[in-house]
Amino acid sequence: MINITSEMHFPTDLMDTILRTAVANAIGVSAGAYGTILHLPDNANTQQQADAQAILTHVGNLTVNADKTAMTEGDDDPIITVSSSDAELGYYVLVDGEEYDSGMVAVVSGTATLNLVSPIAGVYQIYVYRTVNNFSSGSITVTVNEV
Amino acid sequence: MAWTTPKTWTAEPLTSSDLNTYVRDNQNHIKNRLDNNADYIGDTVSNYTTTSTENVDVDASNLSLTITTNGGDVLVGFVGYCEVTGGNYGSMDINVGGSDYFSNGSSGVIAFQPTLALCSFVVLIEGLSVGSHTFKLRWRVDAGTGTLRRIDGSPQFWVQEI
Repeated sequence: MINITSEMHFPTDLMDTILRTAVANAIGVSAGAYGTILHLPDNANTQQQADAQAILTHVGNLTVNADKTAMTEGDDDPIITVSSSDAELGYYVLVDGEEYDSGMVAVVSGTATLNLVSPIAGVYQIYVYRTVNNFSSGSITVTVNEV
Repeated sequence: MAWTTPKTWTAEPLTSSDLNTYVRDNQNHIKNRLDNNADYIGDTVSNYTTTSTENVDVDASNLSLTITTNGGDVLVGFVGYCEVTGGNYGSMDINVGGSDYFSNGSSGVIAFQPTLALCSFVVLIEGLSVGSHTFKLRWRVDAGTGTLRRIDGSPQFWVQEI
């Protein structure tokens, strides 16, 4: 097993999702007080190791915007946007630390747009990541308050 | 201090040399074994998580215990709260001197389940050589994300020479 490590702490599920996008036969991701480890098979080639390292290196390098970061239930849905020249981007949403939604979003005229539809009270962490090149990722938090 | 097979006494003089060998040294040997242990209790910093489908160290620094033994057997124990997402299962193992002791490629010592529950075991590692031995807690999941909680529960990992 080849381990790509970082002393930083990242959500395990998010890192696993990005890692398996970059390296299809990745073994997984582990995290703890020591930081984050991306596990690759022993036969991972140089490019795969570099892609895994890029995931860790470029966390936070993708700018994620929201038209509001705090709202009350019933307000207009928040709109999340990311500028990109890629064809599509991946997204991963946590609500109060638990997985809420994930998938892919198309980039249209240089912008990927996500809508949080009728969110209920909670803290929404929206992560967006590239699925090619440097696999950079970014995030934004939207807090939805009870009425 | 090595163990000396106790003598069968007959009608010979009781000497200090024999008393030291068969009583003092043998008792010290037993006490040394009983005193020889190590443990780690997880503090409430952050949970451990993994999505690895192969055995990996839970924490190579803290959940890794080294003792120097007199040769023979060691008990290894663990207790903690574990769970796995998505209805999946996971397993744990003990790595002794670089080898996963129980795994046969799929299962390990104990399986932890989708529902948050106490995961606990005590296992016997037999026939170790005299010298230093490192015991590491390892784990894997079938799929999903496995969690060993530290935020709301302190896991303990321990080893005891017997």
